[in-house]
Amino acid sequence: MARLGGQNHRRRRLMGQITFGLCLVLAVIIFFAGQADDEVLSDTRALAEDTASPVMTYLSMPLRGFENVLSDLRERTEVHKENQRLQAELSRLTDIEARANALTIKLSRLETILNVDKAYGIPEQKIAARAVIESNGPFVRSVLLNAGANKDIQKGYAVMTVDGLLGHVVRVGNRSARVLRLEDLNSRISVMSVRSQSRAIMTGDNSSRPKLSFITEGSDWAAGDLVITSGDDGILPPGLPVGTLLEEADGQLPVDLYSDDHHVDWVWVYPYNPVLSPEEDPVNEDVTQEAVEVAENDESPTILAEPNE
Amino acid sequence: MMLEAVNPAKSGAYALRGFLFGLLLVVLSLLSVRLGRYFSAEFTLIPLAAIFLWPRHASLPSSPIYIFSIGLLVDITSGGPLGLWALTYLIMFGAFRPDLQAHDAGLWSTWMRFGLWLLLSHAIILVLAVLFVDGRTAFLPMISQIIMAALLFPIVFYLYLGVETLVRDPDETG
Repeated sequence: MARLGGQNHRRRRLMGQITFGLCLVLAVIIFFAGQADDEVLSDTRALAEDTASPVMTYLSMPLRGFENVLSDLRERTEVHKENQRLQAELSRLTDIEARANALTIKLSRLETILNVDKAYGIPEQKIAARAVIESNGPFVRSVLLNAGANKDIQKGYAVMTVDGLLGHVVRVGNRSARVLRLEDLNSRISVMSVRSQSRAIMTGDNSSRPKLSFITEGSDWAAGDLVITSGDDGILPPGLPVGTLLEEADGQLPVDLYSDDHHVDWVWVYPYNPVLSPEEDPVNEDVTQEAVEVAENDESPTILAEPNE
Repeated sequence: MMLEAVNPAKSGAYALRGFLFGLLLVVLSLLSVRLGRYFSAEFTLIPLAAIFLWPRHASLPSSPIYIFSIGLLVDITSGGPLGLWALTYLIMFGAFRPDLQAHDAGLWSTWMRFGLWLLLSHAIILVLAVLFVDGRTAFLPMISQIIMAALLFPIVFYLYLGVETLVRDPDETG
């Protein structure tokens, strides 16, 4: 009997060693396949995030509640001061809103007269989604949203909070999407100053204040400049509010992000189709031929653009 | 270390208990507390405590599967490289066999050992990250998360002892 028990014990130990070895090999395969950007694994990960997203939505509710209680406690201590500040800001913004409405009407008329492509600029359509997991780890600062391809979210779309730009979508599942935050080490977006129109690349460094880099000589950047997306990267739409430029520190220009004030809860995803290069969007041959024929039959004089001196 | 024989059903239940405790800590790891504008406390590393406190006598064939699953779940929720935590947890489990250790040595000694575990697991993470992970690794959040996990450990430890007392087999206590 004791011998039988010993055999069973040995057999279980052997099985345990085999299971351990198999799990280890599987983990190594997953790890290296992930590094090689394996498409199957990428799809599997999106599927896993899809599955985890609804579960996490419910699990994160008590956690978000707890976080909100802490945040509320902090805010309650400053409620009177905050109320005064908000009243002052409201009276200031009422005036600005009236001016903005007048400008919008004026701009709209000018755009109609000049036949400007109105699709360029901040997209009017936006998709609401909820952030279920915020991750600020050593490898990535990201947010998992509970909406994905089912709500027409695509890779590259800009994600905004009520305060400002949060980041852009880097991975899309059917019911979830992963957003790379502006503070992430791997985040690079092209930005510009509202005042001077100077361009730069805003680089995340995992701190709460990303820095401006690739600033061309002669650019005019000053503390207090409002920083918005320039759209030069062809990924994000131009004009999205990013933050305010702070004083130069250690030879670097940090940006105080609008979106970095509190936990992320509800966000808007902005669908945007960037302007494609001629190589990416070649002219349809039939259409070109038709255009040539029309031009040949057209007897009106051709106006040639003269080179600038 | 010699272990007294435990029947397979019971050892399977111990492993399941370890897994459920791990899941609880994965949920806890999603918590981030903001204190002021620039300081945010993250507990991403706390699921490591579930591996460190893996129940004694837990079934060996099922424990690696559960540990692998916990690691994979942490990889998914943290958004980091897939398989990294799963691999690290398995290495730590295989190297130190926490299922062969008794966790009744008192808080201080267990706390110190967990501190060492945190450092060792991060040494593995760093080696894997430097050698194989594309993109850059941020060391400052890593250090702050090690500190946060170490600070939270006593709560997790007493939670573990509480769970263990609740589900303890009356035969073991007499």
